[in-house]
Amino acid sequence: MTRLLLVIVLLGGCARTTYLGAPLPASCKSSLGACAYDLRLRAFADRFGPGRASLVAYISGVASRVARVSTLARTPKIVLVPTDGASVVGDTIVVGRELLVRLGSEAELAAILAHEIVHMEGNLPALAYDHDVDDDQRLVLESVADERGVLLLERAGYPSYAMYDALRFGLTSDEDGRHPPRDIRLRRVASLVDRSSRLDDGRTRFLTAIAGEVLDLDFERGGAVGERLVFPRSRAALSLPAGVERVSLWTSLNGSHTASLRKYSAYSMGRQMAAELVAHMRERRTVRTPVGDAQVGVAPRESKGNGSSLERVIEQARAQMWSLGPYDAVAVVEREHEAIVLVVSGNGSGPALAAWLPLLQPASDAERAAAVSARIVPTRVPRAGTTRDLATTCIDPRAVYLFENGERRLAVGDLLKCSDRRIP
Amino acid sequence: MLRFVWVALLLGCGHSARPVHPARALAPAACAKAPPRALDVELSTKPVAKVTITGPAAWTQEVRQRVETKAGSDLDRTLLAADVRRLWELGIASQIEARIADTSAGPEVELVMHPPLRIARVVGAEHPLLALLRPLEGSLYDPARLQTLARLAERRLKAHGYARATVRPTAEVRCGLVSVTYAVKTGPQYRLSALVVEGSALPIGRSFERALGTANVVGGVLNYEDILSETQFLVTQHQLQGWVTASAKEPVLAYDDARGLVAVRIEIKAGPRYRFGTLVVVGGSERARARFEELVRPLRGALLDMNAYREVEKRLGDDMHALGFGVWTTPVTKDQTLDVQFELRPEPR
Repeated sequence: MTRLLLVIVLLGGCARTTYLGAPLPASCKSSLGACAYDLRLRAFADRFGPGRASLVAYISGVASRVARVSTLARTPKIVLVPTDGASVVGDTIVVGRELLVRLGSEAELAAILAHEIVHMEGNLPALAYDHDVDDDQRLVLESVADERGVLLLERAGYPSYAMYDALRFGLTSDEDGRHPPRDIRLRRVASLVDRSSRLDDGRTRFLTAIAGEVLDLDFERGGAVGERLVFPRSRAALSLPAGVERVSLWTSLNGSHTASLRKYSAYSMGRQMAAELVAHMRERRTVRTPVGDAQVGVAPRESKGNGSSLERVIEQARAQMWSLGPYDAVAVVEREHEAIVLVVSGNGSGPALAAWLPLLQPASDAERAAAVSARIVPTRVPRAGTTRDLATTCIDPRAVYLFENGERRLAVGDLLKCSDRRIP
Repeated sequence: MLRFVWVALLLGCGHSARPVHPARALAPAACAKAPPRALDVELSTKPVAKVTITGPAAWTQEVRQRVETKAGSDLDRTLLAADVRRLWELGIASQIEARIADTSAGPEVELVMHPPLRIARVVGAEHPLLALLRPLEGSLYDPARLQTLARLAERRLKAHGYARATVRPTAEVRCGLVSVTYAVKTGPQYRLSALVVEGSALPIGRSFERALGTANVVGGVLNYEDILSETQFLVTQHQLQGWVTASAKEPVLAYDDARGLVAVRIEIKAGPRYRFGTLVVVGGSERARARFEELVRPLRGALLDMNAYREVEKRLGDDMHALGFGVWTTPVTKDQTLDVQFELRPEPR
């Protein structure tokens, strides 16, 4: 009996910190910055899954071609997520599918990757982790990444004008607060590129690689059908309570109650992330909903900040992952492939959440039938012209108007980025 | 007979050329001779026959829109000079030239945008902490940018214990390419011999420790930026837990340059600790006011703790919502107390 007790005590004393169901990454023993980034990547993997292997391999091949002409010793790892933009997280480039499907060629993809590779050459992840880089400094680093990115494109054998086109047609806003304004970026890059280049831009390879990817709304994480947020994988749907004004509905549902200033939001979350949230919730209890049991409680408490630097990194990673206010009322409904999360913040958030939960209902057959994403089908054009002129080749011309450079000229038989159904 | 008149309206940066190492990545442009000076030659009075813009970015709408001299209009030198200035203000050409060729069809105007200066080489950024300077190769030359990045590089060195570090950039221009040299002086890497926090009413724990125990602990490197931010965080924690007027002076650093050591002393002035004062409710129903009393009674007269207050506020909000009311608060601090008026307003369903 004594030996058994000793074993139990020893095992308890050796209990290791875990994060999203697994031991901490190895990097957490040597570098806090690398640890923080690896924790973030693990959260991406939990929430979004790995991405289509063949597409990730293709993007990696393009990254490799650019990295070979840079000062990097290794090709960066690539992670594909269903959101927008591209960024460097540690030693990994995270590529958003929403950005990817707006690009028009392999060269434009290479341009985006070249920009991120320049950030890695400058060790931006470590820099950004260690310091609050001020606005002026950040804008300079972003400009340098655009301009040196043009040089890397040229060295890699891509037409340099692809950087201009990637910025012009890949970006969705003129000012995002993190980069110089788009017109300034375009102007500077235009002064460096060779518009007359005849190098192969790899458009056919690119469109072939992204064939089948979701164009526009990706229902897998939840998407808007009418006034409801539908979760097709969980066969569930949710609307806002009466009297709550809808603020946005796309892959998440957000609302606001004017009189009380309460905020409502609902979205899908990875299962491990949700399990960790439930484990840290306060005042937790189980409530039945029409689609299954919900764990309901108050958001985890903020840390006092006097733990070790590693403890603080882990707490910050969790807080970033959940993105909750300290007194938010939270409900988590765990399903087979995801967790559905409802959050209410503000006065009376607890009872308001309790009143909202019954509106999480089984999705109707019509909703499930409508919750199907439009996917890319590269289509050969019957005549020469600009993509805008040829848009009616597609089932839905909006696939071209929204996702192609309308001025690009195509020859007979070239590929056009069409969709397999009408875009929602 | 065609007469060519070179009217050089040169707006460029006049750097002296000194021999530099050949650029290893960017091919230097052929060093052009300076164009001939303006000749006072009378041009034909025919309207402008043609206007062309050549050089980088000449194909963009933005550049074309900046030129107001048009084919078919009279040649106006003042307007042409304004065109040159407008193109120059884009900041993407190293020189702008206006060339006028007097042809039988009339004057032909060519606006030449010479390629911008690009950085071909960066020297002096070999320190592992200065990787941020190396990607400048291939980017546009901008002296202000070099200074901005030099300041960031200094910050980076200082955050890793090189408290006396300086980074100063210089640039040499030759044939359109720029070589940048960063003169870096790191000085000693200072380690903490002592970290003393005086006057704190709260436990410090390991809150100042950084980088897995390698910075801002005795024996670790000095990261002064983080010392400052952690001090501010400590003051904020004091304020939340009732020391409402808590403050801290700038940390005092005592350097021992010979041994590369620094002693850090932080003084917190906690000040008096406040208490909860008058906590009253207006509006609502009898039942709501009774529930309010239940929740708020433990706070009255107690030491001020904003975390506890927020918990009560949340519980109150939930319970009042269930009774049909929203809660609006008016807090006032005076005489070392926090007084709060809670107003219960009917909440539309």
